[in-house]
Amino acid sequence: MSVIVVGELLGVGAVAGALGALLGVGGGIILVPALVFIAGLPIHNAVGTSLVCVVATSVAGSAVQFSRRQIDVSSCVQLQFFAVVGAVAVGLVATRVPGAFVFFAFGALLLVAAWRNWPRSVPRPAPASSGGHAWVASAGSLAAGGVSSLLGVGGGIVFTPLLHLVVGLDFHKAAATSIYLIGVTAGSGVLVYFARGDVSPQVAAPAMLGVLIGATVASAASHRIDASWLKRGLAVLLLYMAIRMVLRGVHGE
Amino acid sequence: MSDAHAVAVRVLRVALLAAVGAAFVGVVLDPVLRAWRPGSENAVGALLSGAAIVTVIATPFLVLVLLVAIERGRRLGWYAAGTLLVTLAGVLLAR
Repeated sequence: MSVIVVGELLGVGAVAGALGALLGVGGGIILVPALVFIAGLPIHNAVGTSLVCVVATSVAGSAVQFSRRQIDVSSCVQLQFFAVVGAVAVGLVATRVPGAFVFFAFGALLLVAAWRNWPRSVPRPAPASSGGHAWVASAGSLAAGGVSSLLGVGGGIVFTPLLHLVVGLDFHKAAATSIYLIGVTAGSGVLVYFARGDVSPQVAAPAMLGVLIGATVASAASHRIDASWLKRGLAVLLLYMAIRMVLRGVHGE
Repeated sequence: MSDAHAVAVRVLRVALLAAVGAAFVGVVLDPVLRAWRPGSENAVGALLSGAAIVTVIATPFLVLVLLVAIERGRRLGWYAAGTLLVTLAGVLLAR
């Protein structure tokens, strides 16, 4: 692999890791398109490689959040089980899903992420007062795990609102807990991809290194950063990538 | 900080340092060795990169086991055991 490609993977990984740590998601929504369009990986290999980087983001971010006592261990352990069931089940059949469908699904996910990340003046919905609806949380975790394995993301885009609105955690605690949750979720998915030979270690290693560096730096500085301007830029970038992913699905790999 | 949180922090930091160090050497060695001796196989770099990836993937599961062991919640223990068993089953079925 050329030095230029290694450098590109390091840079992309660092940006994805930093954004993931700041916004409570795994960065996979940045990484998968980057691995497809920059590294030229087939979509299923890109998904598997991205899952490695999502786990790396989780490890780096969790170290900081555990030190701040922001992670709710009980919610995490319970929801992880359902998430892993979803991740493993979908991971086992993911390569049988046509690539075009994955591109379309990813494009839809990017559109949702772009909409959610655009800063609004509408107040955040209040979380459930009793923190009940356990079955909703379990079902949501199952779905998040399936999405994680299919698209190479951590599932934080589902976990964070689930923990905040359904389980009833404070938003910052929900984002912090999500950072650890995505680690085991993506970890179970990537092990399935590894067992099948769908992960490229030569590509995963530099991308993972970049993610580790970016996520660690961003997590440590997260309390000093006003994320609203960051969210606007990310929303625009996500919209651009959504269009490219859909076009790739239409024209084929 | 509770014991569980403190242990998790230590394990995650050690794993992070080990993975970053191994990945850095493995990633940097590869193009350097190829430039120095084109066509050569970089076994050490590949081994270090692989070790870094394995460390990163294994760490969240290790932390899960330690958290449940320290917190000593029976219900949490069942959930954690289920998580590990489902993951193992998935790996075996995928091979």
